[in-house]
Amino acid sequence: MKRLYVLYDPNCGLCTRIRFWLVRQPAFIAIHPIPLGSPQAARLFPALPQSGKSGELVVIGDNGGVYFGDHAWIMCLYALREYRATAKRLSSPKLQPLAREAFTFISRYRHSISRWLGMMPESEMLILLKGVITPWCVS
Amino acid sequence: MYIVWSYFAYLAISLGVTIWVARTLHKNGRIFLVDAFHGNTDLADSVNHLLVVGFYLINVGYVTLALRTTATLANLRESIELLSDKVGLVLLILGLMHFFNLFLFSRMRKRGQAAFEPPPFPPDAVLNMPGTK
Repeated sequence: MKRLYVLYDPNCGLCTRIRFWLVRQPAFIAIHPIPLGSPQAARLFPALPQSGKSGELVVIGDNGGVYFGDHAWIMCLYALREYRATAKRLSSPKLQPLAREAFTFISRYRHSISRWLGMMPESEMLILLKGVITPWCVS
Repeated sequence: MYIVWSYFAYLAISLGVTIWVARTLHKNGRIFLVDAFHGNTDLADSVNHLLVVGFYLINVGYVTLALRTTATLANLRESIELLSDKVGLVLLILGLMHFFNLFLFSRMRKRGQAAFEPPPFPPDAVLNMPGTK
């Protein structure tokens, strides 16, 4: 596996923040974030199987392996150089139920958490940036 | 005169053991490091050498600092007891340093091996991937 496509919710500030954090980390497997429901996602993965929950994190390896929810989150950590050991620990039989609970909780309340922490989602950032009038370059 | 001979004996034993432990580490730690750095022997040798230099500096530093004593030695018995006291401490510190070095070696090796570790679980679904490069 050389690439990991991370399909995240662009309407969630927390997810947007984590997306930028992920791509800044040194990684064993290159992380390619793609907003869920974007044309790019539809073009790359027209046959993406649905996990049932809308907006849930989905991670796809370039070998075709698809991971949902807490598995997806642990796979993101697995891709990172500094966090591979943590991913291994979190996927151990003892810790995995706890990791799943934590992930499900954060995932369910991600919009509220983003609001409380004042994190702006990518979709809002784009709208905001569209409103900015860029000055003409004077040559 | 006892004190001077005790100092000499202390220095000889402590430095001798330090050199022996450092050489053992240098000789046997190399293979660990070569494995940790995926066969990059130049890098492994360099790190190995740097570790041994640090090991020497800390140990010789401690040995020389711990040399001083205020005890007045009247007979051979007292000087042997003092010597055993001092050498014992040096050996304990050497032992701790040795295990610390082993810990560093194994951590470096583990880090090196992480690159080849398989994913923690199989995928939840498998996609046909014709669209991606």
